[in-house]
Amino acid sequence: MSGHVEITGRRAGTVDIIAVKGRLDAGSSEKAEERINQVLDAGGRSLLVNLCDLDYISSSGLRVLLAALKRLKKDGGTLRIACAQPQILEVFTMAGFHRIFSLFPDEAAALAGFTAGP
Amino acid sequence: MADLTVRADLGALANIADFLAETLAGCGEDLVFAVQLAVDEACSNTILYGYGGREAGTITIACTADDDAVYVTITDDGVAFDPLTAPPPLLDVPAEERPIGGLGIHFIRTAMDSVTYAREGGKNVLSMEKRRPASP
Repeated sequence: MSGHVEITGRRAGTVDIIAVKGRLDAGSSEKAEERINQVLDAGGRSLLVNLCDLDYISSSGLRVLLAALKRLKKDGGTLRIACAQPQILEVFTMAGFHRIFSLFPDEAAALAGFTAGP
Repeated sequence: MADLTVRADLGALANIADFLAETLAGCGEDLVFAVQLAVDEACSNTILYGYGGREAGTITIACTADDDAVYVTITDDGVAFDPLTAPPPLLDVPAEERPIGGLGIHFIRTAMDSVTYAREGGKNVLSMEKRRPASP
């Protein structure tokens, strides 16, 4: 089984939005990684990961987000995280990830900051 | 003392989290989350690396709480592995230089107040303790 995670994707202008709901653990992070890689493989360079309904994240989940961030930085892209709940933020902080990720309180705030396309 | 024994399979991680939530109901959400994180990281390591090619074994999680603390013992029949020997990760380097991985054991140490490892009767035994916040 792939774990109790639900991943949905949509676009807002030039921004790809991936929402991850449920548990992002060692059993489900591969599913999230595949979805993110699909977006990046298709040329997506502005990625917003919405964690509003994420209940749990482990180091496996953080690893997927870090891999995406590294890939986007290398390619001149941008990754933003929206709406991580306090317990999820605590895990980011434990890892020092609050310093390397752009975290926004909600999706609208994260979207507003992306550079408008030509 | 409540305990749960599962096959060492990634699909069991959500069941382990549910078991801890039920056993620690009333201990406070933040404490339950911290214990779930530590146990999840330890069990993920065992499942991913503990059986290297041979058939997956079993993991037993035993958990209890008193007024002072929550106590968890994780026992598995995987290869001998003392997670406390792992070096701490570098937390202050830029994204480009951050290694992918190495955080799980750091989370176990950070989320819990004490962690001890023993190899007993051919099994890994990881004992962890998390103090409960003082009542307001």
